[in-house]
Amino acid sequence: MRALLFVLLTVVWVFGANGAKEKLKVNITKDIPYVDVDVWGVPIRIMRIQDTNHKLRNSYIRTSRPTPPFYIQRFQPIPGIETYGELETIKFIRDKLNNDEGLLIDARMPQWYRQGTIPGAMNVPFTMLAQKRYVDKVLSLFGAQKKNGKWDFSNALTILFFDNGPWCQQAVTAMKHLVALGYPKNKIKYYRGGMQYWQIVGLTVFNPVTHKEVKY
Amino acid sequence: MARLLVALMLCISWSIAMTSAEMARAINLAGKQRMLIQRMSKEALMIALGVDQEAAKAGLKKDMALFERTLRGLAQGDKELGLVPVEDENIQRAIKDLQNRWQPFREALLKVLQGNFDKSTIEYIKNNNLDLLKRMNAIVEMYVALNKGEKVKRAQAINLSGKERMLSQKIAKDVLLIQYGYKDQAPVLKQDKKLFARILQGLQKGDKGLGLERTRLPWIKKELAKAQKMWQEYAKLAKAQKLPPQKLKELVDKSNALLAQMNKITKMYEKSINREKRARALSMLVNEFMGEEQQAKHIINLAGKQRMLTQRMSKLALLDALNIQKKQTEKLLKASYELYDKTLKGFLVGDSDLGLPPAKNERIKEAIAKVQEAWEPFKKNVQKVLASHGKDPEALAYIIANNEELLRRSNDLVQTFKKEYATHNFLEDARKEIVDIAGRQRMLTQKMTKEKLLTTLGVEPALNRKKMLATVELFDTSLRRLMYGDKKHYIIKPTNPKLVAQYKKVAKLWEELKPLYLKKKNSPKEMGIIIKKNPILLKEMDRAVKLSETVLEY
Repeated sequence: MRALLFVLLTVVWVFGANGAKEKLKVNITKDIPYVDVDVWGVPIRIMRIQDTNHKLRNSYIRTSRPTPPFYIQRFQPIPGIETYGELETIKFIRDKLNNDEGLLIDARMPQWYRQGTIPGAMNVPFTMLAQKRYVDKVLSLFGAQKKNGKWDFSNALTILFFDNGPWCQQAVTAMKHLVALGYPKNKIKYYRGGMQYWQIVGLTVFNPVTHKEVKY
Repeated sequence: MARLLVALMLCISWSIAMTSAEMARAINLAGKQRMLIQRMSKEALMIALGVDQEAAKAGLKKDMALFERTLRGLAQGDKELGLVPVEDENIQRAIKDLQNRWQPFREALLKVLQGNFDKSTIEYIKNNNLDLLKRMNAIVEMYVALNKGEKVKRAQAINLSGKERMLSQKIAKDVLLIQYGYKDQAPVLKQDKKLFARILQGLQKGDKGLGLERTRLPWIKKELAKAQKMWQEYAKLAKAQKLPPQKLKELVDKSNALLAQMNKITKMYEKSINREKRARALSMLVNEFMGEEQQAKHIINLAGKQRMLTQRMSKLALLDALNIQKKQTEKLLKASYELYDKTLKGFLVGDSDLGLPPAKNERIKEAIAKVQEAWEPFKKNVQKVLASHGKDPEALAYIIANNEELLRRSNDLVQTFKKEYATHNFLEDARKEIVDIAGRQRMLTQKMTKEKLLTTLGVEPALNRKKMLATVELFDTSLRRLMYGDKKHYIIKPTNPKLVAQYKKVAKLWEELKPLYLKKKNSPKEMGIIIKKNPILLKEMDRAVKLSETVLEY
């Protein structure tokens, strides 16, 4: 009896452990069911909503917003800055964020960031980079070093910016400010889809205040 | 004294100049020195016991050079190691002291390296390695105390997983000392093994006594599980009993593998904690920045409210003269002029109750001075109305004649604030515009009532009716714009259910009141409804202003 129980437990343990990755109905890609991101020492799982009948109900169901300012952004709004899709963003989170080699920046205003963001993102409102008195502190936190009054970006981190989506100008404005400050373009990336496309494909949204997943 | 002061200032300015990355590097390398002391002692014993001698000799040479270089780097800086010189006098003194104590220890190690040693040399190493370790540890603690950066609770994980590196070497050294004949080392070995096991367990499952939180990141947990397995094998070998040379070699290999594993884990903790520190620092910075932004909106709202107060004071002065709800009217009039006065003073010199900072900008000071110029005589006349219980016709006439000039100047101040706090951010500016228009509606509710009262009282009835019709029209148009959006005026149609519901509430009240304002002659009952419901309209409009300030719209 004991032997049988042991065998059963072993089977459950082996298949349970391996099966977790395969059991998902909706995966990110064929090989990636989910990705965990380090948020203050706690792993937050990025995966897709498993309900195949799920539909967006929040403000991201809107197709049109008044212009200005909500014009559609170019695919590559700033020459020299690479544009990312969802998979590149997820790969960036997995490989760069978890190794402290990159930053994912939500360029929206804090009120929006606090309602829900991409797990692992930090908030730097796009207007902040235009304020001289904050530039030094922000650049230092991005890994740049000021030497003899000049910025040295050799150890600066790679930064991936995003905002509401392709109709939002905030991330582009933030990137323009950063480029004007001398930040190397090859260390700046742009996730054009932003929060809207992130949610359209059902990826996890995280509330940075409550540290809980946002149901949307 | 002056020199001391200059030196102190230089020291302080340097400390500020030291970046958090440089500080983290110094703490990390100073911490690694503790492990090196133990590894060098272990390597010396390996040579003495003939365990993997060549590798031990090469390792010892390398470790001695690195230890010396790092110690020098901590004191004087070392570009390649990423070290900048520490200016803290206490740390400098402690490093110098350690450098002095290192010399005889180094000589003992050199003797072992050259094969020119006896039992007293090993005895010297046995007796002094822990003293060096203790002093090196004190230096690490001093660096940590100097580090004024963001404190993270999880940082203890770096400290203790770093300590495991040292312990992995110390345990091997303890075993080798026992092999050399120091039987008294057995309890030390037992203690070190117990501590290593406890820390490793604490890193995995948490340990309150050690100040450790349970590790939750799966990639670190995986490496800790690997370390646990390595430790179990290592612990089996690390016993206080005579071991054959082959087993000793195995022990040393396992100690090195465990050291490498703990090193890997420590780096993982460092990365995770650095991320948290950066996130915390950015969050604090954004809060500071947004505090200023929020303050701007608050100031604009209060300035907007002042416009409403000019009209409310005029309306209440009239109600007082008409003996309508006298007690309540006078109470509200007093409160209104006191609030206007306090807010206006607050704009200039600051007011902590109202959350107002003192004005720094000359343009704002000038706009405030212009309001004050109109306010001072106005205030005196309000006081006269109150003192006479509405029976001072001259004071009332002054208020009727001058309230619109006060309103105009109050509005100029709102516009000056808006210009001063412009963000060059469409959404934020649009929001300020909405807050301003919604705020103006509050004033219009009071202005139209005042004008209705003046018309009813026969005070320039044609002019005041004309003015009232214009006020009603403006209120009506603005309410429609706020409810349905206005592309031309950059007003986004609200979609937030709370805000939509609030505007509907205002619209319902307005639907009832508007025909009464428009009617040429009202019955006393109708005037009663206007007087009773006008404050409710104001209150509901005020709620809409507050919601416009806070709810999110895209």
